[in-house]
Amino acid sequence: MSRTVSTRCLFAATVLLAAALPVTAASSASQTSQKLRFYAVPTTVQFMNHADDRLRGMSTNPFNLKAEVVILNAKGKEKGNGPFPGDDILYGFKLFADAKRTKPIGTGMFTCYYEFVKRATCDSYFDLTKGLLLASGQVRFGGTHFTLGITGGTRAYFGALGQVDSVPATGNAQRFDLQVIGPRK
Amino acid sequence: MSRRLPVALAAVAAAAAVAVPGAPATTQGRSFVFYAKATRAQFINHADDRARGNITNPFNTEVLPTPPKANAGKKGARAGDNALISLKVYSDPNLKRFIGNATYSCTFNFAQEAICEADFDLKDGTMLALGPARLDGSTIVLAVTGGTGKYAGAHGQLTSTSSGDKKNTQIIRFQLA
Repeated sequence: MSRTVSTRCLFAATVLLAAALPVTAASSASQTSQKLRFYAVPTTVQFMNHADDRLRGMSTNPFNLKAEVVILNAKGKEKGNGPFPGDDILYGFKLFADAKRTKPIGTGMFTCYYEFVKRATCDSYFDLTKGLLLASGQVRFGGTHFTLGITGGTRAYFGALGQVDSVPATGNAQRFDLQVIGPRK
Repeated sequence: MSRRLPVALAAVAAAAAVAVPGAPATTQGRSFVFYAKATRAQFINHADDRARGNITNPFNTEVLPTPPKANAGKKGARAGDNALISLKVYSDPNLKRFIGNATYSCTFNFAQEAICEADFDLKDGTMLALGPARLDGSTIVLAVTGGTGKYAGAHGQLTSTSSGDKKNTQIIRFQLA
């Protein structure tokens, strides 16, 4: 490469870099962020016990023999009432803006698919007055503290990201603290 | 359920079909429409798992029982059942320009509402969306949570409505941030 060409390339790169930097800064600066807090009271629950499917899966499955050893470790015996891998639990919630639960603001739904050691991947959505917020993540059965990632939203929460922290509240309620990061404007 | 599914599928398909003819140069800040038509549906009835779960479950006695009306009502889907719906996706309302396939994987929760994961496998990339749906032919609004290829980083929402025509076409409008 000649020196002239090299200099031109360097100049072009500098111009491009200079042009790109302000754009990056502007993009992050224009991102909106808001905090929401609400209280959830469970209203409905359904446990789906897949014991028969698990048992059937122990004898008929797509794994090879080595994997089968792992599967048969449980010897087909389930101790306790689970939840065991493959079970799922559906939870319905009413959502309130205040801890006294006098101001309803929507409903929530959790669908949790259990894996091992009573841990589940939960998909949830919060149907609020201004729109829908989705969050997903791992929740341990019986665990009251958990954090989910906000994966999207609709209407006022269009393109939302962020996270949801959940802690126990008074009574049978859970408090949800949401940090909602909106889409770039 | 069997009567409702085709309507729901059609709605989903229609939404998918109206989309953009050809791929957008960039998906950011774009709105486009696809047209879709349902091709297959499978309903998974988990009545046995539900009945077993009502007796053998990890809850203690303090936990609320499932209210009788929660799963309810009309004949068809109950909490925990699944519906799988596949659609062909087109870029034109006449369903001539095929651009990919879509699958809706739904788990019913309460009051015949389901949480659905929609996967769009298009010629120029894929898109994922998630959210509640009633699957009764009414409009579905899902949040777009990601994608690949030309849709990498896609985020926004999709609205799926039935065209109301004989083809049961679904009109799917994507709005990306």
